[in-house]
Amino acid sequence: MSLRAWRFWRLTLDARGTARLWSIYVSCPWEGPLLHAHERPARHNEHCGIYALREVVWRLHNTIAPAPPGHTLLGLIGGYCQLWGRVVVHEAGYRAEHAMLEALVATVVAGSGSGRVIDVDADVLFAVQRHYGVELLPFGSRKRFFSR
Amino acid sequence: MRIGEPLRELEVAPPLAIPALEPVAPALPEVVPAPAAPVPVPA
Repeated sequence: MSLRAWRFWRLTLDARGTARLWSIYVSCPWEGPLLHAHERPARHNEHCGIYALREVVWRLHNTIAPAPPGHTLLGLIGGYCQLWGRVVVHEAGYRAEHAMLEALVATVVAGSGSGRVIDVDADVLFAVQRHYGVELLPFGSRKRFFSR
Repeated sequence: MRIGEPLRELEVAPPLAIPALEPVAPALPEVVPAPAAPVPVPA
């Protein structure tokens, strides 16, 4: 049985107004709901794997990557993914070999770590929902998804 | 995302329903590796 975990993505718009998700620290686009690590994560290799958290958090303390070339960064969006394959369990999260985006919370926050909510057009969120084929959760239910 | 120190490794089965949306995104490490040491330049 796969693991459910929480993580953030950068939410961007390209020049045509297409919304996409990106990993937050490297220029890694999530073209669809699936992402596979370039190699199997292991305890001794701290850089491999798709990162996710065990619990819902709403602020990040690391500096995120800037907007990819040709894209405008709207902010960060949090959500759930399923993890499987080789998974390294950490104190507060995971590094996984495979991940599948499962649900997003319909609230976008600033990438500065302040947790400030950014006003994003609902059409952008619905477009992301359709493209990735995921649930769009209201902010108030962001923690309940873990127990489903 | 701060995930703390590694504790153990697991082999986890895939979810029951995986969408058939291949090809998937190019896989990259989630954390930028430390920059390589500078190459010494001959004097």
